[in-house]
Amino acid sequence: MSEYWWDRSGRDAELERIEQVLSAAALAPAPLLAPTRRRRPGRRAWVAAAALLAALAAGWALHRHRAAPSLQLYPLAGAPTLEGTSLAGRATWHPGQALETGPDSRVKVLIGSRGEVDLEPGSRLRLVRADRSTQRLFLDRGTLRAFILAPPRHFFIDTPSATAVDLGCAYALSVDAQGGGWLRVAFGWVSFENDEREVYVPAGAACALHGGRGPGTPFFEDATAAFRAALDALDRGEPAGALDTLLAQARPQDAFSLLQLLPRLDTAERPRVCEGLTQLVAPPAGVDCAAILRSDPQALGRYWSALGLGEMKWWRLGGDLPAPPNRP
Amino acid sequence: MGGLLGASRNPHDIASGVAAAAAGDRAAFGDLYQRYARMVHGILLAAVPPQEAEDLVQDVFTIALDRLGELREPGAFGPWLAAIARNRGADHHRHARETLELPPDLEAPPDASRAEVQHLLGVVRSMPEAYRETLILRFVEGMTGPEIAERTGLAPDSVRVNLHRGVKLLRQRLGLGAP
Repeated sequence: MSEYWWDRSGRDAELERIEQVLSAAALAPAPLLAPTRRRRPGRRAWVAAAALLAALAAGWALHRHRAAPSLQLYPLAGAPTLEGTSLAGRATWHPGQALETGPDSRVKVLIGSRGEVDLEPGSRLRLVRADRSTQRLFLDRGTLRAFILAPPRHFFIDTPSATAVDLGCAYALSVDAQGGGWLRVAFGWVSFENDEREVYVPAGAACALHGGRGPGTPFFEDATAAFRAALDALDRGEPAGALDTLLAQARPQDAFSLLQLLPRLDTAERPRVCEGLTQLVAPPAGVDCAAILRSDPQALGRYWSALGLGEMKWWRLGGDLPAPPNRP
Repeated sequence: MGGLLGASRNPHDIASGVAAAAAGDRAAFGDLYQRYARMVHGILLAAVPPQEAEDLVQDVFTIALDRLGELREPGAFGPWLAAIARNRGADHHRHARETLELPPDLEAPPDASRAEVQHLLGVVRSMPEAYRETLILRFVEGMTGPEIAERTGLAPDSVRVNLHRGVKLLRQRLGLGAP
């Protein structure tokens, strides 16, 4: 007797027909496609680590040689527009076109197999570039949520004040009319940068965007309110009393904020902050404040790894390796 | 169809993948997404309109990523993810307008029409709750009974009973003759 209904063994024309028809409603081929081979971070041996890195690099290289992803727009609610024309159904998005949502409309952007972006109400998003190696959007205003599993540094979102560079993650980005806003990362990492500053924002952390001045210093969202206020004051160039508060309120997990704040401080203040930093998280042997303060790349890399935020090398593959977080 | 979902892996493999994903390994997360996305979609489709199920898949995975550190038994990732999907579907259902409208980009199979897809899906979604989710995972998402049990953490016997009874009722409602 056929058990097609259970495990497809035998034949059952009626159920085969039902299955064939209903398969049209199945989840479309996964829009979030990671590199295809199985891999896991090596934990015990350099050989395993090297094999992992090689596998990842190969996987990402394969991504690079795929055809350019097609960007598809799906209206989710309301009446969004594409180049001023109402977007009634699925459409292909081409470079140069602007997508806008009104107060009640939302749009989903599927970026081939590399990820997706939801554009929230009251937003304007332009497609700047879409080829096989780079997808670049420009968020003029509003809020988006991105969920990207593309190779690091292939997906960019520009804003009037900084660029969010995807390092493999889920995040939300918002921009107001003055070019200010915020970035919140749910998973993975984002590099948030402009011509003058580059910060790294891990999962659970956020970063302010200051109109005309670029990204602030990232912080974990569960940091104390006093810590966050002090960090904001320092970012705004109002250091009076803020440094004392910052060092008093910092927890070990806030070390990544202090490390990325260092280059912004006056030279005279840096040794004090570095001392506080290394009291929060002890540097590995051979790394000290002298090396950190002179931005020794090796020392910075080792200290960064000691912060326990995951292996930065996972996110740094793909060719354009980002510099250490407080590159001068 | 089952090949799309990959071969079964033991709980230790899943646990390793979950641990790596929790530590920030996005490739490991990609593996988990590939493996469980259809299960999540099927569970959501049992609770929310077709147009919205696909959108909520991203929500469920984002929630899961956010809470991976709370998962005490990484090997139980599937059942845990299924619970998140059911909760998300139920929560959304309370606030959503029920409709059977299909996504605009849905393409019917060559020898069927959108209307037929919509009708069949409507019948399956109107089935008693005990059968609905299992039927959708089996006939919409293309998972076999053993795959459903393995991914959702449900007992194989329970899946088998629900699937058997659900198929029987489905045939009745569609006026089909096979036993």
